Amino acid sequence: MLPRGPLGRLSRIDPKTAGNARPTCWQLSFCTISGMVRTFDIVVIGGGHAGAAAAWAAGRMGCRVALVTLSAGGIAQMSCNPAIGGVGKGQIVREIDALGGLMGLAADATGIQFRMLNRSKGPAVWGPRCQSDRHAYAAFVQAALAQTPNLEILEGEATDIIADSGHVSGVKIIRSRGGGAMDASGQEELTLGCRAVIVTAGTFLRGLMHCGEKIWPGGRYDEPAAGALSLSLENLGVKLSRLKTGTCPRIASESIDYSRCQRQDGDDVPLPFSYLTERLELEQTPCYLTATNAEVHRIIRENLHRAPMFTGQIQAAGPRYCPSLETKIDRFADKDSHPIFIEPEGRSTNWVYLNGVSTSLPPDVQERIVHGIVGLENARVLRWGYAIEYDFAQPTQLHPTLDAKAVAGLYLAGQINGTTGYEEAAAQGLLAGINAALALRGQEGVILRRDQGYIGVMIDDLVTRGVLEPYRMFTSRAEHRLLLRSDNADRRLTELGRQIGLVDERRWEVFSRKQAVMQEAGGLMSGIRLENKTLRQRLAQPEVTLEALMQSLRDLAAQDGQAPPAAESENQAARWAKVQRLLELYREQPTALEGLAIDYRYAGYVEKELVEAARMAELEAKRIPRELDYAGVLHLRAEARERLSEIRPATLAQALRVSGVTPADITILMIHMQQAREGSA
Amino acid sequence: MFHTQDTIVAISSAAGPAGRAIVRLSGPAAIALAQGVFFAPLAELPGFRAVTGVVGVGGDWPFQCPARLYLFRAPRSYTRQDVVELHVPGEVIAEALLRELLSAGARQAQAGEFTARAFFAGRLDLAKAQAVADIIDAEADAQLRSAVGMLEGELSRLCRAPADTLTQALALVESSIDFADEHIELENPAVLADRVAQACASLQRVLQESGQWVSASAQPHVAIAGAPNAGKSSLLNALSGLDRAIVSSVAGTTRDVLSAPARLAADLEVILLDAAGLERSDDPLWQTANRSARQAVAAAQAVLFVVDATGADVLAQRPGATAAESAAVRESTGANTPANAAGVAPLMDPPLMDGTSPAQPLPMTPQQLLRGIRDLIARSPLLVVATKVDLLESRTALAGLAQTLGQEVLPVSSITSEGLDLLRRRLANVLATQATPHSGGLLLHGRQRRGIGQAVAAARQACEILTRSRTLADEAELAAAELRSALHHLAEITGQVVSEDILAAIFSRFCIGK
Repeated sequence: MLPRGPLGRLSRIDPKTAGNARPTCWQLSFCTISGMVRTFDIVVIGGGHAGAAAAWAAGRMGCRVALVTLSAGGIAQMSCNPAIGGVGKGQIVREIDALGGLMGLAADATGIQFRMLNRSKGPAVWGPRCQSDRHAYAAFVQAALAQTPNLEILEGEATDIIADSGHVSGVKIIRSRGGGAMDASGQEELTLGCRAVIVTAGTFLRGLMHCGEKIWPGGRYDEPAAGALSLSLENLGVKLSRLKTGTCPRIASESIDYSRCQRQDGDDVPLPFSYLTERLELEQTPCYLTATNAEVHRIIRENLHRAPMFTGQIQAAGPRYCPSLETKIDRFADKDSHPIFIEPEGRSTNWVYLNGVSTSLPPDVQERIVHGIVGLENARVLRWGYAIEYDFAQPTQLHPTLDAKAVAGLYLAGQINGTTGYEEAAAQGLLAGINAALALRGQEGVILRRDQGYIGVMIDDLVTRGVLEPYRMFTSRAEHRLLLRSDNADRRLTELGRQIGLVDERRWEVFSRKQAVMQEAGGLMSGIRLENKTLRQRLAQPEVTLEALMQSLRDLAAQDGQAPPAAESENQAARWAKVQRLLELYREQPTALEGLAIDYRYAGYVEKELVEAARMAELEAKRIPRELDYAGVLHLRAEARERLSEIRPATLAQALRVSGVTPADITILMIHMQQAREGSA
Repeated sequence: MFHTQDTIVAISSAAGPAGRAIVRLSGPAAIALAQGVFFAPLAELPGFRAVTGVVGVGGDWPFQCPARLYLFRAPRSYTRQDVVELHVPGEVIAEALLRELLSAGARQAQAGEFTARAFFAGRLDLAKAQAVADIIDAEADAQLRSAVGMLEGELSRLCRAPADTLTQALALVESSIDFADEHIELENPAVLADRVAQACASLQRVLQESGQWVSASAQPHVAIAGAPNAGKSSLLNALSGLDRAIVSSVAGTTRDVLSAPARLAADLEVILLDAAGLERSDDPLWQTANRSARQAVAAAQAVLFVVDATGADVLAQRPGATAAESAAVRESTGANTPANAAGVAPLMDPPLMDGTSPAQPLPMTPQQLLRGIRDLIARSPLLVVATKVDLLESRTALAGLAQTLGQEVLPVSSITSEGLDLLRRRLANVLATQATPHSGGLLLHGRQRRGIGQAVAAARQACEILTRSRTLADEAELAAAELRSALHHLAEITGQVVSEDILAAIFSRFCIGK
């Protein structure tokens, strides 16, 4: 259990006697006019990237959804850096898109610079990334949600989740009556009856902000924290702990001397996230690169006594991979410079994000730091960087379908599960939305396997191992990295999305056409020989690129001329036709052929991984009854019994991944399950 | 082991110098895999048959040697899957076959896995299921114990440094992938290749300098020797207390009991070894078996010399019994008949397909055998056990036998358990006077040896990839795949978890994060 911040302690005080605590439901129950009740199927609490994805999915799957947010204008806001994707994260966006989610389309529509990371490495690890216009991005998602069927957006604060005999049955919200400021007299309480609740509260639960010596409760800059919901979750049996994250100062673009920074452009040919986006046509905006220096480091070192990260003011764990600048300078004292990325927040704003300067030092120190950096000597700071501590629920309290073990019908997604990142949040939101909708239909939930997607890896890591720091996706977390590529997310997941009902006609058609082309082109590549080797065999050599191969085919075709060779040889004519057809397919659907080429390149490795994955899939299919009493399983070692009772894995495969559980334990478990089955039969 | 649809393989006899070793396969590819190492067509062979032929493997240590293959076709087998057993002379050959079968796609079976498959195939009823769990529990426990023992010992220490080197190398390669846009300074791939090569060399040295692990424990070894069908394996079963109902109610299930642990007293457990093959010195098929059996006897802390009491009168009166008479004795006790092979006694051979009987061992009298064994063991104690005494009408012949052999004879019956307690006590007594052996140097299990070997192979691949790369980026994902595979093989030995280690190594080394 991580230590609580002051606000956490405050919230534990009886709300009736704590003068400065948020009004409770009890107080409100007599000050509202009536116990107004509306009913939905699903209530989504929070409108960040997780909440938006959940509401979008559940609405499109036919559920009546209410999205409760403190501010409708803040839906899908990028609270941190204005970018989508990256290595690992970009693959997640592709997976979200393949399942029929929104993020890929939104990123394509509002990106202002696109880069494929790891382009110099093998395609298995390519990570699409873009800089986004954060205002356009939020507007795009808000518009999409406005058009989502069955979805209603309600502004207000969710204060209580109501449960009846172990199952959620409603959510209480308070909202301002006349659209004015929220205070006790102008508020009304509303009860939303529902059968499932998806909580995507981000950093808002008992959020505590730090900027130097200043501490104040808040969920995001200038936005209030949500305290009542934390209490409600705890009352339902969800245990909460604390994590920390932080963000960088924003500065005014016109105050930067870009001539002293290194310009960083997007790719010449920008590649989209979504499988539905054929090509991107946009004018790309550059980013700029500068760096810290010895002087800046000296300023920071001299002020560590004022850094909340070092004074003990912040106690919760932050992410190792996203440290504050003061932490970097402390831990890597030998480095005299750290890179800083200057990222525009949009086309129509002068706000610029200083990526690399995450800090919670006091504003006067931040100002000296910024001014000490080359190119930023006269920069005007528009908003100070800050750190925030917030409540999260250790995700081992969830089933792999993202619903809480403590109470049925309660789903958690996003930062509340101890993750970080828009992509990680949206992926969880999407799955939570899907699973809540499926559960209401009486269908079994979707659990993506680790060989099916990074989303599967992430959720399995979360619910099986839990987190010690905010969880971010890295490709090195996936044991089947060569299977989980950005080029084949559609092949991995679109059929599933179609079954669920999230993949619409258009996406299905695009997918089916690509599949057909791949099948035909695959046949041709195995059939056409070039210097004694089939094209397929040639592509298995890492140094052979598809484009080069196609060029040699074009040269070949050019030699042969426009018409099929005279029937001097039937074979030759057939070969001519094959080559022509393949080139035609390549013109039509280059990505389909690229996908094939990548398959061939990794054939040997992929085969090995598939064998491993197939072995595991057998175990993944073996579900463990949720109510299984591990104490009743004889022969189980004490350690295994304890760990399994705590995690209560959904499948035998998950059970095997619980730390401290051995293969022998699994077999004993299987024997027990079979005995139980036969005993009851 | 919870996977039931792939093909598993294991050496069924426990590690140790047993007379012959059995490599057993179960699963859909069992026959195809066996065909890869056995030079006689199997496709037409019906189930429940045995053939004599030659096994062989290519590769680094090519060899061929005679073997016998038993085929059980699904569903008429213990696991209801295709089951193949290759009976070969000696552990060394079995290990080589195992390596070959593993690289051909079979998976190493885990403790109790064949039994578990039998259970999941519905071969064992509910009442026995718990006993199955007992066995798995016990076997896994023993494995765990030995793994822990090894962890504290040499092997783990020796593997630690190369594993760390590989982890660091992987961390570098992984950071070049996961933190591509972080502007971190990366090593030259040639430097990295060099370090990986050094790790390979260290691991290779571990392999070269270590011996073959003989037993999972320091328990005393007791060899059971005697003429064919004297009742050696029944005695082994009776003493080890293996549940016959579980182990041998289906044909082909108990052949792996060539060695078994047996508890003689509350604080004394021994490993019983069936030293079959000792008497077959002139049969080329069994020469290696004979060698192994001799080793088993020589290394044992005690020997049980088993004589069939029902033949005792004949043998006692006429020391030089002829081959024909020996055969007749066997015939009368029901050995080598299909019913016997299928139902009761383990270690009996099913009929050969061509109808010929198994190679005739050169007959040896008990006296000759006993003399041979005494020569082998020099100082270790030897007890003479007369088996099958429940079939005797009178015990007078036993006295004659004792006189002929010049030693006390302990009468036992594996069926009625008569005399077993006395035998246990006597055995415990003679062992109490023996010092426990101490093995010098590092000994590796076949599993550990293979794990290190596979780690070396994968690391070499990584080395090759890194060597041909101009930058770390070139084929980072492939180098990572090989390094990861190498570390996973080592992890099975050292028990380290790879994924978290890598992230920790990255974060401690690089300043990552914008």
